[in-house]
Amino acid sequence: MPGNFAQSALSVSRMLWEVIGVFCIPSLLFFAYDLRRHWRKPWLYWVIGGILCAWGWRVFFRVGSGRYYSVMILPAMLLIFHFCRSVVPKQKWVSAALLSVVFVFCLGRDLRGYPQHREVIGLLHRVKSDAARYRRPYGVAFPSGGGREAYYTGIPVAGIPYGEREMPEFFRSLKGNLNLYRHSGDVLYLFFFLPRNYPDKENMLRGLMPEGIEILGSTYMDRRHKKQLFAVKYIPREETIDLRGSELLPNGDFSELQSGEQLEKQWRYLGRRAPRFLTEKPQLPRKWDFYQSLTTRSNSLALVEKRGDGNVLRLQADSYLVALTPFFDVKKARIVFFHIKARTQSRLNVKREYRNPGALHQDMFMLRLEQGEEHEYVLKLVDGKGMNIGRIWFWLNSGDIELSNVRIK
Amino acid sequence: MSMKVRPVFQSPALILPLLMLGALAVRLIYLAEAPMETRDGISYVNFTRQWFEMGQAAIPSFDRVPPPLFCYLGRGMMFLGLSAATALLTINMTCGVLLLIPAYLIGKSIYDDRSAGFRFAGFAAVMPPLVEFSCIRLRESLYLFLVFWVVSLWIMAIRSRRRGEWFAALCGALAVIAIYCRYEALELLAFVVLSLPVIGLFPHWQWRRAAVIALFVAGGVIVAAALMHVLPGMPDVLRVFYNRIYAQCLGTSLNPL
Repeated sequence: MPGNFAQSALSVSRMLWEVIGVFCIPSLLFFAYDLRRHWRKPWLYWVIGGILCAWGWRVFFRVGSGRYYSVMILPAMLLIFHFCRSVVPKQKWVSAALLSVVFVFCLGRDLRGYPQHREVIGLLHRVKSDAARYRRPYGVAFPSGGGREAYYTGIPVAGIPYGEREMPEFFRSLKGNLNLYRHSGDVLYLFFFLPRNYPDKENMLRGLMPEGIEILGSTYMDRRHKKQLFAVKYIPREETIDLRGSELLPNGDFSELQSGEQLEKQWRYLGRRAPRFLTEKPQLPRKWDFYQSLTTRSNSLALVEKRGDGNVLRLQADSYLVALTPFFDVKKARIVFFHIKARTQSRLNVKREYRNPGALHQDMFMLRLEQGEEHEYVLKLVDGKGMNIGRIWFWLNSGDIELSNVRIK
Repeated sequence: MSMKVRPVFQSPALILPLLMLGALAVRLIYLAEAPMETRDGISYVNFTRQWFEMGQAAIPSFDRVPPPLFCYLGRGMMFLGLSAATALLTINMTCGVLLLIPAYLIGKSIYDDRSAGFRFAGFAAVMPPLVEFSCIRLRESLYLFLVFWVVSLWIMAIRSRRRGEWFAALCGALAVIAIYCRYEALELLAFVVLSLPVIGLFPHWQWRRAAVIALFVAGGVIVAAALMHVLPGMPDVLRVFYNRIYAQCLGTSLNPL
């Protein structure tokens, strides 16, 4: 609880602006002292009780975001105002001086603005101008949600999250794989948010592909230069798909189907939030796992369907649905091939999971597919760096796709 | 009989508009510095635009709906020809400037001093988080505008002997409306509903007054809640909104945040 309270106090202070937060401390102490003059007023206890309850439930539920504390602005203002006005009673000039100091601090803060924001917006507008030359630009932001980049550039931008500690491993996995996006757009813009102390950033970015990487610009995100935004451009190319020496992943052609108790168990598990699994009782492949949201109800469905002389795994999602491959050996680097046909506009996130010993779970790619598109993909997986087994997560955020012919070499 | 003549320079009709002009100037200067839009703000712009362009038919397809009042007002303003981004910004700017009125009333009521009201309103004109919220497309500016009004009406309800009930009713109504802006306004509603009737008991255990206040508060709450459900376009989006709260409360914990 003390930890929650400290976090909560920090959130309030940040939301108010730290200087105001500091002003609140003597104001609170003075108010506590001044209570002796107002203790007969019943409404005051309601107010104090109300503020304490408001703070208390936020601490209890570990509410960290400062915006949920915005209601504290009014009590903070009243505390400071009361302090300035009443700390030296009958001396109006003291009150006026204190209020003026607060006023000047606040006005200074308001007029200072955020020069870095102008730089960031300028960089994103440069990307927007560049993207206007292309028919179907696409963007990916690391590790942002992509919404802000999409807003200022006017192009669709997907977000790939990762933690700062995972960055070196993440970039290792990204290297050489950017052509995976060749069907998502005719030009790819990548937005990287890198900490100040990340070594040799520009060379790392240029090293993501053997050639073709262009750094459009960079700027710092904040006054203290803690984080730097890089905007990178790459035109994806065709990959040579050489299936010689490859083999099907276990049940990579979906010819083996689950049956009996195991299948019933899958329907019950998935049907808790996606009732179509219970009503339609679809065929599911052996050795593959499925996963979905634990909280949101959906119309998602996974099923094996016959196509031509083979089977496909069809995934339909309105809230996310995940198909997990069987585990395979990752002591050395591997290449995974898979075929996707989009029956509707779809967004597919491809993730990797490595294990034994330890565990690594990482987003890799967010692919955009238009209705009717059908493509073969080549995914280069790095070695496990001490971990022995791995698998791929095909995380369908929305849409309807058919996955087939999943091979590995 | 002598009548106290209020000096012109202390007239709220003169000072408050000047303060509001000053508040607007500060906000416009802040806006000119181009603060970067927040991620949530962008999602509200997108939601408002989709709602406007695709109409009610689009609502069942939304998988998440924020408390809809802010986007509802933004959508309404889009019918005047504004873009979603401009409409939401206009709402926030307007709320940020008009917030000085309840701020003045709060300062004046607490200290029984008009000049204290002006100074408190002046403080609200430059308070950094209030300025920032006015210039980005988040729900906070509208929410805080409602909070300031609820608090000023609450104070007027407990101080006024003759019209306290009506202030109490309006206080309850605005607290309900604030819930459709931010969930945590539920605490405001609970505070208003619990405190006003009890405070009405004092100073001499006036049960009748307390009961009347309770009735007025209840009336304000019911009328406002009903109004929110009959506004054109609201019922469909409220259904998705309630489903999301229900699903979150059941799915993870009781905390819908």
